[in-house]
Amino acid sequence: MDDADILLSDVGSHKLTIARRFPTYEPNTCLISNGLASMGIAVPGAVAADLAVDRSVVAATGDGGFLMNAAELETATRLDCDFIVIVFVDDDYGLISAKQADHRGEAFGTELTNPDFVAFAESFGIEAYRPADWAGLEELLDAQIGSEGLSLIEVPLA
Amino acid sequence: MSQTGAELLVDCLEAEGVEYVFGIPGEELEDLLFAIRESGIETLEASPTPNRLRLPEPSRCSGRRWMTPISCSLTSVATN
Repeated sequence: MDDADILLSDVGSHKLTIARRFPTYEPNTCLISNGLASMGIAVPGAVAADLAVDRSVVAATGDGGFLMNAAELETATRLDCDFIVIVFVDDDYGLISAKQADHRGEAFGTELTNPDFVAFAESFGIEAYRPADWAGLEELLDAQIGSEGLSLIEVPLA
Repeated sequence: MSQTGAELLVDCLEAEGVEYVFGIPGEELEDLLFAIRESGIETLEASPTPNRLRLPEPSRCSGRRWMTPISCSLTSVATN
């Protein structure tokens, strides 16, 4: 990503890694829902960012956060947005279950039953990918960042 | 014998005949979630946050009692 490009983070385990590890060089180029930490911001946030600036936009989200506002792919498609959605998939509210496990040694009520995210995105006419490994993910991002249109990359974590 | 607030709330829900709790397992209500698990009440997790409220609505038809939501913040509690 260029220094001025925008990364949006949803809320979940990935947010902790992005906050710690993603280097930023200009203000407002890494947008994180903190404070009340509302899940579901990544995709609608990317729509707004894409409308607001003429730069590449990447939305990073977990499966739980993505499902909360997945229908906004329709909005993004209708508005001819250009951005990439990366969905990290662990079939769980992973950060919540990790905290429960820390507190109690077990987790409860956190598991998700996911759709096929690639097929879901493709049903909107969105290019979608499921790279086989991290090298494949890097290759995809290199190819997709700055390209026109929407794309979704599913990243299985299990 | 001491009780946590979560356990007391679940006792009240059971006394009211609540069978289901709808919501999202946010961390702030972890104690409540696990207290519900120890009760006879069933938890049903809804994915989009607003649907914590919409999902139980038709249950009014059955006359059954429910509570919503389990969430990051407890914003409302309702029984029919």
